[in-house]
Amino acid sequence: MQSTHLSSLPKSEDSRLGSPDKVASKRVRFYIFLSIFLAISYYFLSGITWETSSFFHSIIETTACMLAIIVGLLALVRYYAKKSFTYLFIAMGFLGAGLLDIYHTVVTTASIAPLFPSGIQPLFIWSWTASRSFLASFLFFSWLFWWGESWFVKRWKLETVEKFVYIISPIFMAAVFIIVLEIFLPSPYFSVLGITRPADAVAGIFFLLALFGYLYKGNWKKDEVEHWLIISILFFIATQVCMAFSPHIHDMKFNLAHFFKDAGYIAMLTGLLLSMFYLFKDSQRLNINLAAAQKELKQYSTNLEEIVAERTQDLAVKNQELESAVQKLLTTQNQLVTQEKLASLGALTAGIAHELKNPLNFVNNFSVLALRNQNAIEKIIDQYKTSLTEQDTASIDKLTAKIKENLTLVVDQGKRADTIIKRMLEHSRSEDAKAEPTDVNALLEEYIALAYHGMRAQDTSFNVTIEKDLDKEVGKLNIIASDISRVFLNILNNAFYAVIQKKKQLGEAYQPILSVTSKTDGKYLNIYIRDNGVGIPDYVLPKIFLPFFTTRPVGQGTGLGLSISHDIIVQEHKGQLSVSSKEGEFAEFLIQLPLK
Amino acid sequence: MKILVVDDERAVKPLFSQWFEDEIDSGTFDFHFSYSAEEAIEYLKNADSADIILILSDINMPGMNGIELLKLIKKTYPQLIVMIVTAYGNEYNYNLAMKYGADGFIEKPIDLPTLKEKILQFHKNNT
Repeated sequence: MQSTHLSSLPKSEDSRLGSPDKVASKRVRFYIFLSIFLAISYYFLSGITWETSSFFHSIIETTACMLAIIVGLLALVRYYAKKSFTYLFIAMGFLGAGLLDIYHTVVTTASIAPLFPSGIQPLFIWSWTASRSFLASFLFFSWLFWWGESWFVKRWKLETVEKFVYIISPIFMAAVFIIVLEIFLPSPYFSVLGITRPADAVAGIFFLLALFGYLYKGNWKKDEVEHWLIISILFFIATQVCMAFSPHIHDMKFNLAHFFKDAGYIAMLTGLLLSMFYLFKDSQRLNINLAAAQKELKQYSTNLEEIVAERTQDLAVKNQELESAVQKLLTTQNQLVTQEKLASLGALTAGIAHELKNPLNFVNNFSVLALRNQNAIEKIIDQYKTSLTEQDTASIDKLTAKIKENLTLVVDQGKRADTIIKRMLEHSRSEDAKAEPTDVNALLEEYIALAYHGMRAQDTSFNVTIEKDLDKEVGKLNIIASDISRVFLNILNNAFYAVIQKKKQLGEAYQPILSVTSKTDGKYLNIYIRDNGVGIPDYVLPKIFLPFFTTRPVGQGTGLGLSISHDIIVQEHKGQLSVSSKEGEFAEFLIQLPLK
Repeated sequence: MKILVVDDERAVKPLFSQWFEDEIDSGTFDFHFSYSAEEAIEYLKNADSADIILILSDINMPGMNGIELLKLIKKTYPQLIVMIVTAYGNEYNYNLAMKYGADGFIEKPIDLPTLKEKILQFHKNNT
């Protein structure tokens, strides 16, 4: 198994400049440094006397226009990608400021200015102130809409605000155009608290608010655009300070204000471009990360497949083990049940058989006594026969003969009952028999001889050809010898019975043959016991192993032999017992004993 | 020769009485019947039983069984000949009977001609 580590992937943007805390303090130091630099610049440079021309102003402002428009457009692109109030207002602020700057540049161009009703100074300053105010207020709004976003979002959809901004901005600009174009503008110079141009101070306050707002917002710590926005605003504040205290156009403060304004635009442009640069870089890094992640994912899924396959295999094995365990349990259970059944059947059979012997004792012996008594009576009657009528004598003779005949029958039937009981007792098995390694071939030969001589004892004329083909490979098998020998005896007795029946039918022409074969097949020891006797009718075959089923004449079989044999082989020894036969030709029993 | 028959089956009395009618009449055999082991023990304590030679006892009887009786008799009256007569003629009972010193083991249904011969044999040996 392989574990997956994603830490090997390229690092994220955060660590590019060090830890976030370090970046933040670095930036704060930069803001302070910039502020001090701007203050010092103002302090020292504003004292210098440097009068510029309208032409110089036009060049500076043309640069500003282009910068502002580019910044506005870039921010607008960002807005459409990100859809946040912040970018909408920033974009529109710069775009609007840019357009107003164009207008400012146009109206202040030396050749065009005389076409307007106002004097050159008010024209210069009010068109400037319009642009600055527009930008200052929009930057402030951009912060305000972030700050009160939840409040605004609840009331207005982003699209509504967007539409509003898109409508308001051109209206404002159009108003500025018309006002500047048509109206005689008053002098923008009116000293308030030493401030020569208070209108620019107002715009400065909005920039200041925006500065504090954005500093409070805190995104400058990690966001490139907002960091440069802060710098940009710092420049704009400096711009406003310079302009607010500028006594007349084209002086040093006026020029400084213009430089700072351009610097502010450049700062914002830098922020947007840097942000873009990092975005592209990040996207590349992300692509690499993605590829790496995909590769790892693929590897992982391959591993997973292997693991799943392995587990599935394990499960299958476990399942098989369980199944065989269950099978074993079932087999054992069956065996136990069968043994119990056999034991109780044996006990029942034995109990009944033994108990029947008691009444039979009396029936048999009293019937013999009665017969003896009858003979005695006969003798007595014989003495008096001369004094009896011929008819009486005939009656007595007839009755006596009947009584004797009946009593003889009782004696015979009693003996028969005794035989049946003895046979039943043969089937009641010893209960404590244990499986022991036994030479099956030797056992088989022993019982063939036993069965044969048993038959010969009953019928001396009985003769049969016995063919034996025993597999020497068999060796010793773990079996309950007393039970297996009972099976052999049952089947062999049946075989002999079958050939005797056929001999009775066919006489001398028939030669009885019994063939016994043992053969191992690697899994089972197969013992075939085949006779060429009367065979078994088809309708009998399915019932042959049922208990108490017998085809023998009454009194010659209990119907338990094959049933018990089947249980012994199948249940007790986990083997198979089967039979095949053709009526009138042969019957073959197959005993299969497992080798292990 | 006095013989004690112990069996809970009351029909043994007419059976034996009739089978051995001639011997009883001639005084060769004298049968006494007890229908339980306890009854037999009681009888053996009697003065009347002094001349008992042979005991034929069943095994399965209510109360004390034949094997217990055999044990007791062989302990108390070792001179007595005891034959077990039972319908439960299995190996277990046979071994038990032999272990406690039975002199014979006869299975029911009793082959009375054989029994008669055996008893007469004892009688012969005895006199």
